[in-house]
Amino acid sequence: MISCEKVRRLLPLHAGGDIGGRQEHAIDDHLSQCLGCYRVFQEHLEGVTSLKVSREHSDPGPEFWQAFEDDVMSRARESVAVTSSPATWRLSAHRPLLAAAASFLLALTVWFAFEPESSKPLSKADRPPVAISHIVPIYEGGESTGLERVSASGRRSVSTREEGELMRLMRQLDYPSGADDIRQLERMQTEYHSEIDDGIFR
Amino acid sequence: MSGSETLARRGAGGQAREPVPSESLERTASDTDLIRRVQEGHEDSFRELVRRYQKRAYWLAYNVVNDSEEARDVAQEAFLRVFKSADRFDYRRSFYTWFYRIVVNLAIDHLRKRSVSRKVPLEDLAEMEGSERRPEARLQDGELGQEILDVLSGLPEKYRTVIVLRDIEELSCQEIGLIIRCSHATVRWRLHQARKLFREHWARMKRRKGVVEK
Repeated sequence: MISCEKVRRLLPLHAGGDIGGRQEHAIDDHLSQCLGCYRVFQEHLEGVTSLKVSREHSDPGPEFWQAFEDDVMSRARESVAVTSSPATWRLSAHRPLLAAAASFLLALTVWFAFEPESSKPLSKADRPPVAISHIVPIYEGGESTGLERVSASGRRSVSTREEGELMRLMRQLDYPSGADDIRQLERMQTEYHSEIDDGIFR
Repeated sequence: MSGSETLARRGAGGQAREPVPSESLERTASDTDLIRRVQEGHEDSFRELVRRYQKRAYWLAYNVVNDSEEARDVAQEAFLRVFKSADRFDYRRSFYTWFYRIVVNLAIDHLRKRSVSRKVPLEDLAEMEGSERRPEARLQDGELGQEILDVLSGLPEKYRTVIVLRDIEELSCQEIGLIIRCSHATVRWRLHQARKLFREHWARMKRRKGVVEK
């Protein structure tokens, strides 16, 4: 039988129906025989059920939504008035030929006045660098606790602390430690979640 | 004046309008068709998108920011972002994923801007019982909804976002990954942590409430 420790680790996902396959049946079997784990499961279930129930908000009424819609439309019209030619919508909606002719003349003017940048082919040297990410291992006290993904533009894409938390958990689950590249980390993540999902990814 | 005339005819009483042929077309159009028509400057298409998604946008924002006024601001701002950046919509992706991402990002921005003094510590939740009801409480079915939102407010934003999208909005982990730009594995990890934290905070709130009632 699956251990209490392992079952309790999986209960948050199980309570929301996020574990499938044999693993789900194994947890259910355990819960039917272990009162302690069943009580913890009930607590998780209460939380998830409460969240689902909270979706049933009482509707504030048609006036609220009508005012909401009117505000959005009004603000959108204002933004059109500020950022482009006045009353673009009115022209396009009610004087389509005039709007089309005006747009065509405007486009011609712009075309002849300024050659679009997009029409000039970029030389290889001018092209932006390909965004190849590289990985920087993070060490705390001589131990690898996470990985930092850095894009070619220097932007981080993953929370190092969170990856560190995941790695620490995986170590508790007897996964190998000391991962030093992203492929290794992703393989470990996949294995960890495969264990949860029993191979079923949704 | 035609735009304002349309609004005036509809009135503020929330009465349904007589259907007109052009609106029927909008109502049967797909999201992608609507966004394409918004790019072409069709007001009715944008209005239809607002009608389709205003409730989802508002409640999603509300569940994240836990404030009716802020939720309204966030949802309206999200629609304006859609309007202004419709040209940048990627037709290979679904509209709602793009739109939800805008709502979530704006809601998180609001949370970050909110002053620390406005945060409600979990320890104070029980004491709020019996205090003056806030406007959003009127929008909820009883106290349960408000208790849940207050407990959610105590979660870190990255966990709150995932648990709201999964357990309240009922999106799949795959969809959530697209919205918050995380891997499927990271979404599940955050969901695992979020539910664990929610259970702990929920139990703590219940215990404190029980002490106050006694």
